[in-house]
Amino acid sequence: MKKIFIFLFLLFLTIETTLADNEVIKLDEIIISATRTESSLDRISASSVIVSEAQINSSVANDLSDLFNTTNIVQTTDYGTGSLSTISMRGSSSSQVLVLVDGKRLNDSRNGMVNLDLIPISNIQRIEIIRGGQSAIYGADAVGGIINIITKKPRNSSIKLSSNIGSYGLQSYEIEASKKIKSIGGLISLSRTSSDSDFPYKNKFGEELIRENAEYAKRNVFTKLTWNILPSANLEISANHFYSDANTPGMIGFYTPNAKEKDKTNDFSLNFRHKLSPIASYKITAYDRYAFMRYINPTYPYPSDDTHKTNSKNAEIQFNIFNNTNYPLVIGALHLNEKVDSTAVNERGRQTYSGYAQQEIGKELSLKGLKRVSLFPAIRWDHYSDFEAGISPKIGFLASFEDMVYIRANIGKSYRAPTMSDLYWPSSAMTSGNPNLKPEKSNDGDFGVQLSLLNQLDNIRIRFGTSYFQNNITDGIQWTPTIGGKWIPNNIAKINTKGIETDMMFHLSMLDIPDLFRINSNYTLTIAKDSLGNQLIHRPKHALGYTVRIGTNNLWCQAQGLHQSRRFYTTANTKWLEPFTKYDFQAGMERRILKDTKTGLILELKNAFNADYQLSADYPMPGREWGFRLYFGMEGE
Amino acid sequence: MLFIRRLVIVSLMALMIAFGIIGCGEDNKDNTEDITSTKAVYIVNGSAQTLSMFDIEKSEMKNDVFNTGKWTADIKIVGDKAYVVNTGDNNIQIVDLITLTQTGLINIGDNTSPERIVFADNNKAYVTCLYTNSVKAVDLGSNAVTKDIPVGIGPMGATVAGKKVYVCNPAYDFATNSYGKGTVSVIDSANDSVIKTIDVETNPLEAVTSGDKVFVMCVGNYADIMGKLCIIDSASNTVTKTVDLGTTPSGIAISPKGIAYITTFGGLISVDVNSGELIHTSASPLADFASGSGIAFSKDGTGYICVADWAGTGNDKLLVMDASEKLAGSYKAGGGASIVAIKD
Repeated sequence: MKKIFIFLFLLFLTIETTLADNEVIKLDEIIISATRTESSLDRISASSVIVSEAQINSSVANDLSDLFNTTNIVQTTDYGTGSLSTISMRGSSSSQVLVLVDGKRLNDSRNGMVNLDLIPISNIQRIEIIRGGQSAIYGADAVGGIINIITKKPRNSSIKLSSNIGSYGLQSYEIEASKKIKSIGGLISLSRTSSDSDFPYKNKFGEELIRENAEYAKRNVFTKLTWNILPSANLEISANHFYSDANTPGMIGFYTPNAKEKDKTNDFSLNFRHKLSPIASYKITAYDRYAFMRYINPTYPYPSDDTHKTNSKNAEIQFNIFNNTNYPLVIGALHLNEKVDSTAVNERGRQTYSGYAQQEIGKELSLKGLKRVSLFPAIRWDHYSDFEAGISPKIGFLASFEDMVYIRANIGKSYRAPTMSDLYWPSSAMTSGNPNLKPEKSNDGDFGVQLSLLNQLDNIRIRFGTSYFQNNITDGIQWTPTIGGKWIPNNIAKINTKGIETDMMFHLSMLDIPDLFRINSNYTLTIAKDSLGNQLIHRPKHALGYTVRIGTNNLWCQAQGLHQSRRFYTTANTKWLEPFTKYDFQAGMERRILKDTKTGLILELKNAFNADYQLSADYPMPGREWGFRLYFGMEGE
Repeated sequence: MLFIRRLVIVSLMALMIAFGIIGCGEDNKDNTEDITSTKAVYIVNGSAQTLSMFDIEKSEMKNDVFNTGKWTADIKIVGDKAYVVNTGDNNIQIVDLITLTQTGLINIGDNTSPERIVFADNNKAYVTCLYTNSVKAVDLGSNAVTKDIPVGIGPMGATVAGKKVYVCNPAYDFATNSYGKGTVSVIDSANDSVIKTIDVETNPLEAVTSGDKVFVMCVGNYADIMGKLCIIDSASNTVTKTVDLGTTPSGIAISPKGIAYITTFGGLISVDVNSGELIHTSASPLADFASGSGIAFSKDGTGYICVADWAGTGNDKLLVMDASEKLAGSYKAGGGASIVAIKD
């Protein structure tokens, strides 16, 4: 057996996948998003990654964009610090990735996108990332995958204070207090982040300039209340207010020295769970989300003052039946009411009615090491008031050999909803929406193998997984000129995506210190082609991330590397952004100065070797940056 | 356990093979073959951000022979040099057409949005700048901007007649998505000052010269106001005739025979330069050349019209029109083929 392990390890080296990511695979993690019910990572068919709380806490990130820009968990396209950062998975567009917070949709029905810069880290306990089409479980927009952000929960009496200070005037302050009294728990978190973002860069003539009009200030209030009404029933209520006031500097050569963007979101959600019996439970979820965005640019020639308001109200009931058996079933229904009030598309509304069912059909076996086989059929029906969506099916397969080797496969159909802008953009001389649009459709599948040696070896824990994926998108929505030169969206694009993902973890325990030395890595090969065979813009073919960490929980240091191959930015693939490799270094220490307290310091050097890179053409990214985080926590009974 | 070993090895090897097959290397495009020609048509491929070159003598198209800057809006050829106006880069590339290499770069300045270039003589050029509502005078010896000449709102097309430069001002209002009063600014190239502003029709976008007449193509508002052709007498700087085109035009060029050809979605329409009368109307256009945008004529009277496929399905074309106004050839061009210039 040892020979196999050595062989496999050498194999990783030879195929250059010895990268690492920041504890991408957390051992023994429970994942909720893959099946809408709690499962172990090793008991689901979907390719999944969990970003743990420890991982989030070892960075000096302030928002989700900061966090993802240092890893290869997903690909981001960044339009400048604090401005706009979007996400891509498996070669998808940003509007083909569904982003959720505790199951609540963040994708804006107006433009389909989620701006990662507007998701503060201070709310987040952990992040679940499910790769591949998930419309059979989550409906629209889950084409490339989903990201489900799990927010913090109340703990026993605790107070946490933290502050981040960094380059270019970065300042961030956070206070979090949590208390549980008998069956009731509460948590409140307040944070404020600001930065001048006035980093140096070079323009197209090689002149060194300072990024101007890039400053931002963000503030966030998050509260959560939990109440265990009965031993078998609990209620969770959370509210979140976020406000961002950011200046937008524009692209190189076309600066917007007076442009501003103001964003505000108010979220309220309610979650009631009731366990009826050991094998049956139900959950009622309701949320109300209000998002406001105003963009102001008083400068000629594009003076604008646009306001967009989106309101989403959702009510959902979900039943979990046959829990703790070999065939757990999840069924549910929901109603989503979305309203947009925008200077671009005026007042629009959308009603969605959905029903879904998902089941694991598992069987324990004892056949040549094959210990368990499971099928995961899932189906979802969505009815929209303004377009036809229909049925989204999916089936997954998982085979477990000796709890060490896992074979996974999935195949299904997903879709992306036409946005309100696609459908209702007002008719003018040059543009018009198309109310007859259909959703973008995708047929996707993947196949993967995972090796988990978590308890079999002394002092070493290894997990290695690799998957092949393929996704064919038809009816892609594309704006093209028609008679008279008017640009109108139509369902004409075809995209074929295939690739390979690998995730690797190697943890070594020494000197009686568990996981003293850790390497985590992932590599993604993405071949995303349009109908002419050209790679889609902003999709790097190769992306590699790794983390090497040494130390204990109280004293550690780590190096993170991120490499991406070139990104084309013309559809004909005639021009591209150069490949880049950047390195980040962090070191942290934590001490108990007083009883029941912990005080910690994290130092960070981002882009340590000053790599000159861009993630979107003509939007410069900062060079070397330093930062440190000081925190103090106190926990009581 | 033997089964598991085999399974692990076979699975990983299969994935590695798949990895090798589909993932090796980057896609590189090599354009190292000989690409020079004495008589050629150069096409700006807007979405590919490249030039294509059509060898007139060999009737051969070579695509993506030169990388332009971003959002190229104009190309003009002077001798063996091409001047490529890159709106998105605020610069003008000077391209040696013998070697197809960049030999110079004119920096027009950040936030200027250069649109068209015209030449007063061998030493001086004028560049219209949308963002600054002005025309930049450029010294071709030093390749530097020497003067900023305020004109009308949102200047685009320009042409030279004698010692005067005629600049089209569409007056597009980005805030209201509408057009103001279209005008043409007349610049005296001797002292680089505006000597007159002429009212024309809605959205004057391009201008060409034939003798002492300046033909200003007014596009209309792409909705209820159709395109018009305003003919200006350069001696008096007055509009002597306005021709109702009855459709929305895209590009204009004058053939050696003295006919102005205008590209439209339905096909080519044409106007007799001398009489100002329509020859091919929007009701009976030369339909073989439908959806054309850029148009130019060689000295022998052959017309070259490019048709851009903005849907990105690869149907970008260069159409060749012979002297009898027939379609003489169709050649695949690069992505977004939209502007054309001829070296002959």
